[in-house]
Amino acid sequence: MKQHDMCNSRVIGAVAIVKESRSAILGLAIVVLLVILAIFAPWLSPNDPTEVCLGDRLISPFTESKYPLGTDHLGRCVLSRLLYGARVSLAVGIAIVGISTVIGVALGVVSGYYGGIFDSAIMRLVDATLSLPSIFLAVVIAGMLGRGLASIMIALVAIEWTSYARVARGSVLSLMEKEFVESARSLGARDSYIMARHILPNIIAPVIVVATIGMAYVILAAAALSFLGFGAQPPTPEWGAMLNAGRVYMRTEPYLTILPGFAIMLLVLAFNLLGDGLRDILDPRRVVVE
Amino acid sequence: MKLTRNKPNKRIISRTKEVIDVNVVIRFGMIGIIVSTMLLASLPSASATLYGDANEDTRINMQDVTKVERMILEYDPETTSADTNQDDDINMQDVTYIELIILERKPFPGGSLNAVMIFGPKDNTLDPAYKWTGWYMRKAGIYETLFKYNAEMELTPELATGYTQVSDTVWDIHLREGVTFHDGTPFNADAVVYSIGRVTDESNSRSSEYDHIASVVAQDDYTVRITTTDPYAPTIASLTDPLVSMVSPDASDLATDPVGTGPFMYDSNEFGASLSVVRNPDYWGGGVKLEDATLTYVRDSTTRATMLESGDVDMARGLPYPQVSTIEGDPDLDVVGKETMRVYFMFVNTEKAPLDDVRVRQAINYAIDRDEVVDVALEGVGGVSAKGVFPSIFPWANDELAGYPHNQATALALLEDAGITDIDGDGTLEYDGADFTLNIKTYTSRAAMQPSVEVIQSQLEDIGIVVTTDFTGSGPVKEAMTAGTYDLAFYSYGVAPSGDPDYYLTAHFDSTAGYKENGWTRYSNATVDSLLASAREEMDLDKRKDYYDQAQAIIVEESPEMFIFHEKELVGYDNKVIGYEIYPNEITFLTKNMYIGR
Repeated sequence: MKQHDMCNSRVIGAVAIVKESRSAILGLAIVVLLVILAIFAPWLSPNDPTEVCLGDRLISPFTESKYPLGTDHLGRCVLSRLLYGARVSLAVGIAIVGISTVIGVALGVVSGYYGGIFDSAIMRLVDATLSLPSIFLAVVIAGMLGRGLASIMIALVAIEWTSYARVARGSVLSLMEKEFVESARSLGARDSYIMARHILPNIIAPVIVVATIGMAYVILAAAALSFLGFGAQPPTPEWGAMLNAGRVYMRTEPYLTILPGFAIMLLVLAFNLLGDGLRDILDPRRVVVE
Repeated sequence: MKLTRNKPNKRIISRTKEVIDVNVVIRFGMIGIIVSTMLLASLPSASATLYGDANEDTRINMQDVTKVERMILEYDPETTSADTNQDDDINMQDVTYIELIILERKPFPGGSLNAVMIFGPKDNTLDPAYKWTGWYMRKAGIYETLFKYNAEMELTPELATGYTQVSDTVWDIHLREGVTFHDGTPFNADAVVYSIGRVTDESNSRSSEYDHIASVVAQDDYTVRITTTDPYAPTIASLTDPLVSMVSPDASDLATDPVGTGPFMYDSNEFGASLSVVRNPDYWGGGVKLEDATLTYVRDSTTRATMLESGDVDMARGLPYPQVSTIEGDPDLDVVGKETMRVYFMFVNTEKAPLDDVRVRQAINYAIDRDEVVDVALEGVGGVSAKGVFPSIFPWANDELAGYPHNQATALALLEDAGITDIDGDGTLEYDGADFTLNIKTYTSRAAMQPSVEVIQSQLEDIGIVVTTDFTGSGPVKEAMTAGTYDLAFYSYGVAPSGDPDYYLTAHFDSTAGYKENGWTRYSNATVDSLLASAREEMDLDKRKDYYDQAQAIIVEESPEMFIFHEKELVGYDNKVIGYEIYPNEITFLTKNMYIGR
């Protein structure tokens, strides 16, 4: 009976790995595709994304070869704007997640390693930040800093670092009990050496998972802030801002909101799939089952 | 054996079924309650019947009397709306009832109106003497003023019956007799002295706009004498601003419980959400047709349009331009548009080189294609391109002005005169050794601002000017204008809240008056200053108009502000709403003549 159950779970586990990595592979494929499109946007775009052509305004998609996905209310090529918009979204996402990771991991490791007052202070700050609805907090910070991509990046970093700090600290606490850390300590290794050589490499996996899913959240939040007018300023092609500009045309020219909305969904979905897949693959508990 | 075994099982099954059934019943019951509540809530507007309108032409008149008589004689089929007294029988009582409605002895069955507006009272006060709250209260039909502008922008008496100018500085205002406030207090000279006193009192944040008034004294019960410090021609016009609404001196707290003389009485209010009013049965101006009305406040234009299309409201102000054609295409809905007193224009920093050169300002004016701005940014329906500061519907507009017709060649020639040409042949004009770059600032709370600036940007880039834009809130724009760190600022103003040309022209162009708007343009012209000063004191209308015409011509010529378009107010309404009229000064909305006619 027990044998049978174990066998069953192993089969299910194997199927799950294939399934999960499939979705991870799909996510990865979409991310790679969008990154390539973003990098080669200047060569792939049929038109200048900011060039206004008032004679060609509000052309529907698939009707004119010059504008494959139509034009917006100022006669700007929607396809070109979407391609350049991918650059903005990816760059903003990578920058925010990158900075948040560095700040969050550094503070998390230090507070987990040393504990004490520093640990309490950092963790209470993290708790306080996480207790507020993050998008609301981001709106408040961005509102105080004024408009522009830089201000929404600062606003989101100010919130995002907390999740990395928390994950890093949790991992450090569990590692502190491990034999290799204790042995390094008893051999008289310096704290900075232990942190860099023994702790950091072992917390990379959970951080990568959080960062991948964080990309999805950050891209969505940045688009939301731009939609509200805080982020990218016109004429910068940004998906959230495109969504907002197309909003008044929602009833008459729905493609102006559907296309950037779909682009945001695709990128966020891809990072979520990738993040979920990575989490399952890197999950230590599953390794035990195998 | 089998049977006995099965029985208990069945019972168990049926019992579980019952449990499920109870759950299902509760769940569906809940849904049913919610759905029926929603249906009930939507019923009054959906099934409103104009009882008395027997022939269903949306009007109640003697034809309906004839119609009911024909029904009684069985010449014509009976209709629901013919049963005027609603006793389920069509008889001579209904005929009498219709006649009483026509004679205004019975209330008009005008129904309830739901309208969605843009802005409403804020700062937790309904006091009409606080900032612009009076405007919202007047739109709701609660307050009235001594004089008003009618739908044709003509100055007409409202709570006054007329005025006599005793001397250059003394005005006698004759009041309407027999008017009472909603609380029963009689409207008389004391009420006028009290109401104006609340505005001229120094504690009022807008009192400086009324510092021309030296004293307000009751001569007798129905005559008020206003003395001004200097001869001030717009004295009567200044009394049309809803800031100077006539309020009941006996009201306990006007901030929470408004008491006016208007066709509607205050009912309830939720700040930032809605304001409800009910019919004033004793309105001095005659029978009020609507029974009650609710004004909802929604900032987002698309939401307002959707509310109208879904039938949540009967009227919607400020429709989004792209949706106007959709709404017009709906057989139940109509859109009415009228040029308003609101101008969209650019402040120019006339002290910053090269904009200090009048030729450069004129060139920019010529480079802007105003018709294209209207066609693109306003979808061709939201405005009329401007020739000067005032719209042509305003009697004080200088109709002779040609404005700046779009002409790129003239623009380039003027720029060349001013030393701005494309020296290196890269398609961009150069000024002072660098690309000629202009920055346009604007705020985005009005929907037309950003698209208009984007169109102007592309038009200026067409002739080789590099244009950058800043879209922010109005705060940073005002700061930049005060500091002088701006080139052009796209803005919108109501040009004559009191219906008089002095307000806008003095604030913006009289360099001796010290208004902030003039500080922003830094414009100074002694001729304009003296023309405006003379006009302010000139009581002869023709002479006064002549002064303003000259001033407007100089202002357009020298262009310290670039006028782009005059806004058209677009109001969508369900065509069951009868009797609505657009007032160009954006002040009046609900009137006694409106009702639900179907």
